[in-house]
Amino acid sequence: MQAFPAFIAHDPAPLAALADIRASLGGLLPEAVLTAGLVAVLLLSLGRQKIATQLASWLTAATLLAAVFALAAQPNAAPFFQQMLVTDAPARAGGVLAALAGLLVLSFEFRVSSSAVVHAKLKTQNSKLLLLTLVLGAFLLARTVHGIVLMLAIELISIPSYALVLTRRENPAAARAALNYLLLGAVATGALLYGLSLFYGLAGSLDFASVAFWQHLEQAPTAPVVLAVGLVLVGLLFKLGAAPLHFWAPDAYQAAPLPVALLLSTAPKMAAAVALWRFHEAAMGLLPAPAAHAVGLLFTGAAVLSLVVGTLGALSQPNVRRLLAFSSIAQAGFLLLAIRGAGAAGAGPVLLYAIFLLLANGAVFVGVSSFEFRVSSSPENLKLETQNSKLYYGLGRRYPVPAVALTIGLVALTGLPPTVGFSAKLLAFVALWQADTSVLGRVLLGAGVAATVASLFFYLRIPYWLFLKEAQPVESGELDAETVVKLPPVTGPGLVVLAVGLAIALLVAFIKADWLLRLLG
Amino acid sequence: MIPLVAAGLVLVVPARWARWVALAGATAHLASAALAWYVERVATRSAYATTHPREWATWFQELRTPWFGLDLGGLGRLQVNFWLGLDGLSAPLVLLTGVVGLIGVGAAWHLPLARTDRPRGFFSLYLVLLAAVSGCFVAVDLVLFYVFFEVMLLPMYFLIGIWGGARRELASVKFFLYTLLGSLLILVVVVALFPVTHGYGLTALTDFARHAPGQWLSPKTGGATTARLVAFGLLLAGFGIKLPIVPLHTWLPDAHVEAPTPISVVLAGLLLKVGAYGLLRFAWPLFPDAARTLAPVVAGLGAVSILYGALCALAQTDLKKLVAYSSVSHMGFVLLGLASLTPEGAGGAVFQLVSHGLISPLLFLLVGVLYDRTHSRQIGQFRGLAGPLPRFAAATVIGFFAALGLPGFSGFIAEILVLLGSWKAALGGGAGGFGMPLWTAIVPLAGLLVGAGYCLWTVQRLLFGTYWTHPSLEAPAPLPDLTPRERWLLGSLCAATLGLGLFPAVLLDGISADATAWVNFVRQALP
Repeated sequence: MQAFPAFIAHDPAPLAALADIRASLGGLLPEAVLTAGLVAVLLLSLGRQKIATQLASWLTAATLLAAVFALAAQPNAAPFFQQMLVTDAPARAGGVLAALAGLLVLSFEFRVSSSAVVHAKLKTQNSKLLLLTLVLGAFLLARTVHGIVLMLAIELISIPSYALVLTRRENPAAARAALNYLLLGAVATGALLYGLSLFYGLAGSLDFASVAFWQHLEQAPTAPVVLAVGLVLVGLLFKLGAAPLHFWAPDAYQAAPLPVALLLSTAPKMAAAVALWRFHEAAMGLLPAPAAHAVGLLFTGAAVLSLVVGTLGALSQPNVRRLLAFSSIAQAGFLLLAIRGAGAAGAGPVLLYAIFLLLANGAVFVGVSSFEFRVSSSPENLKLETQNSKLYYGLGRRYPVPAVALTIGLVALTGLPPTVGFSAKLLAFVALWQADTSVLGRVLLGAGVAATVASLFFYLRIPYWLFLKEAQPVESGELDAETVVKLPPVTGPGLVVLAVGLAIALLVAFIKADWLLRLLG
Repeated sequence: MIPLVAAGLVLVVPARWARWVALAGATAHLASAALAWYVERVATRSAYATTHPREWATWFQELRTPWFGLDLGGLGRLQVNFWLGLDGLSAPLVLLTGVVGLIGVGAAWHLPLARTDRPRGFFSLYLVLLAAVSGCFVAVDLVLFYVFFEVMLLPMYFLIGIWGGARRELASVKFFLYTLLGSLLILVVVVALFPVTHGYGLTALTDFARHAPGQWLSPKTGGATTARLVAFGLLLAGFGIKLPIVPLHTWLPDAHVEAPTPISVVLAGLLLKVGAYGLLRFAWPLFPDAARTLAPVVAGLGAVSILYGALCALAQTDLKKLVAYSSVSHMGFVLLGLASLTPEGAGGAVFQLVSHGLISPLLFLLVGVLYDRTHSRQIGQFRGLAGPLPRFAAATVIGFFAALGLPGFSGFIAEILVLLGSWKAALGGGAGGFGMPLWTAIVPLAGLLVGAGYCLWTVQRLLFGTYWTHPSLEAPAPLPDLTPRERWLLGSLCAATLGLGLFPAVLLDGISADATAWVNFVRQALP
């Protein structure tokens, strides 16, 4: 009998279902808080528009904060609620990070919409409802050990995501991106369901936390087991934004408002990383050797593919939004790399990487917003101009503070010291070096190092435009450098403070990386 | 740490004060560096130190606080300490950092970038760079060193990229990619060492008896394993890019030519030294077995660098490129000295670092003087400068004579020591079996001859004959001689290189004790 990870419990004596549910209610407090907040915001939206908008923001923020504290205060617990949920350090961390990402996005969006340009016409209450739903899904995804809840959680995240991509409804590109996203999501969900049904057929339950489940799989033939794992993996990789389920990302990032893009690139990934880690640990530890080997191959393959696709896609990308989309595909590859390395090291490398990703993506997206809105928002031209990198030329001199914050975020994403990106990558590499000594592990490590070098080309392209290029008039576009200059600074000081705060957090976290991990237990 | 504080300060003061704050920061940095050097020296000369043979990795001054530790569950703990130390090998380089840092501020003083062209950005990046360089020289923990090594990268990229010459974008990107590639090679070794050593302090890294067996990089007695040879090769390539070793040097001329004068000064005077210091402090002691096995190869690379750099310098028409290639040639001596594994060679190598750290800024300053006045660096566009510019001529003569290794200058001491060491190793005298092929000791002599050739030829072309400048130059005729500021900068560097040439013992005492300990360690560890 292999050693079981902590969250795999031995089958308890059969309980009366009702008693179990009653005993488990305390563990559901974080989700309950979120649901209550959801209902309250929904009711608010029936009230008067102007007051409701303001109030909804604060209410959402309060709900998220309360959920963070409720989740962080949850004691470690063996699988409860009919063996469906679990509470342990990674679960807490994944949920808390997703909620913090929600808070970040909320403050981001709040600033954007309260600043001079509201032309993005964010449907504020609706977007808040969607945000809360998404975070609820992320909470469940990080805590679940049961197939059905996994499925539910993924749908809870996905459906708001489709709607959020469609925020700018008047834009045909947004409709196209949302439809793409929806279709790919449907495929992923279908695959996930099919994989779960295979699991049910092979093991007789979807109870990943029970010993019987894995014992049944041990007796099953290898090929269907691997197929089932692969199909479930499809659903999870979709939420992580990893290749080969990445096709939605560039269009969605380009068409959605920047806060939504930030949300998509953080919150679901935090939870999906924890869920993938859990799944990987269980599959590698409990499946018989040939199947475990094949599953390892699947994970490694997805990681290498994400690194390659993300890096190559970003290399020749003149459009900043699409560049960020490809960057987050590559970062998903690094998350998978950390998951592959977790093994004996525990979830530490994965969590550190997730924290880093939240901070760095936050700094970069908020930083980019300072330039995007500035170059795009001429009063008569409401089209958001993200295509032309020439618009970024020389802006670093005019607006040094957000430009420096953005640069620090990009440096962190590259993985250079003195930012926490370096610590996160170093830890992931060291863990992988030890956890997987096969040729495959070395290949993955090599891909990670190569992707790091190559990522420099595209990450530093943005500071290169900002600082090294001289401002140039754009030839055929509607906007030229002169009108850009004359526009009022759209980004309020709030956003600049936010970007600078995140950049400083990246630097401080480098000095004390272990504090972060201790904070998350 | 002083430069970091000053960097922060530069950012908040008004732009026209930036250079004064930077000057104060660099001066304070020099003072602290001099103090550190002096304290180390007193410790070296104490009764204990003179009667007891020096052992490898004993630090006379050190500071050690835990920095971060990450639990890796079953794999143990990744503990990185903020561990700084100073010994005879690093103390002179710390002092050099202080001197060159101050010279760099002086060289920037009158340029637009110090007054109107975003001086705050310039000086804050400059001071961050300075802090990172000093950090490299005192770091005892490999990860800490690596962090400082990487931190140097970004300020340099922006310093060249924003304030550089016409082709600055290409040059800065090239610099960045080369160096980042190098540091990732180093990172691979850092990662691979963890399962063997479970710690990155230098003592843990070199305590071979306690290394975990059975890992990829585990040491074995009786010759280096392939893995250890590869790891040593990775470190050699990684640091060699910075040094630079000949096949990896192509970023250097571009970076130098496009960089503004103060940045060239720091690049040649300090950054190249960091690569050499990394080899000295980490590559050799961590893999002594591989270093011994590969000594002939490394020596060959060094010899080739010396000759090739000198030949390239001979062929240049651009004065700044000439000086850049002469750097390649001079750094070859460092590699040769390290590879010889003799006390003379290793001591000479460290001395060469200091000596070249004084001479190359001197030469770059001279180029800057010409360029400021005429916006040209073409050797062929000047003749007979000795007439109207006697002081400039004197400094140029001293600079190039020092560069060619004339007795009486510091370069002579360094190069003669390295050559002695390499001859000793080549003839098997005490090298004990891992000596170098004879040609690696002969080729540097040819390199020296070519060096004398390009130095003298340049002096002749620039200074002698009747005064003439190319008609296309927009320069006042006759050219004005050195300003008082330039006189001070050039004069102090000339005096320093002359002083070290006449009284090398000032530094050599401290260096030689630790160089001997270093050589003994590398030769005897892991038989």
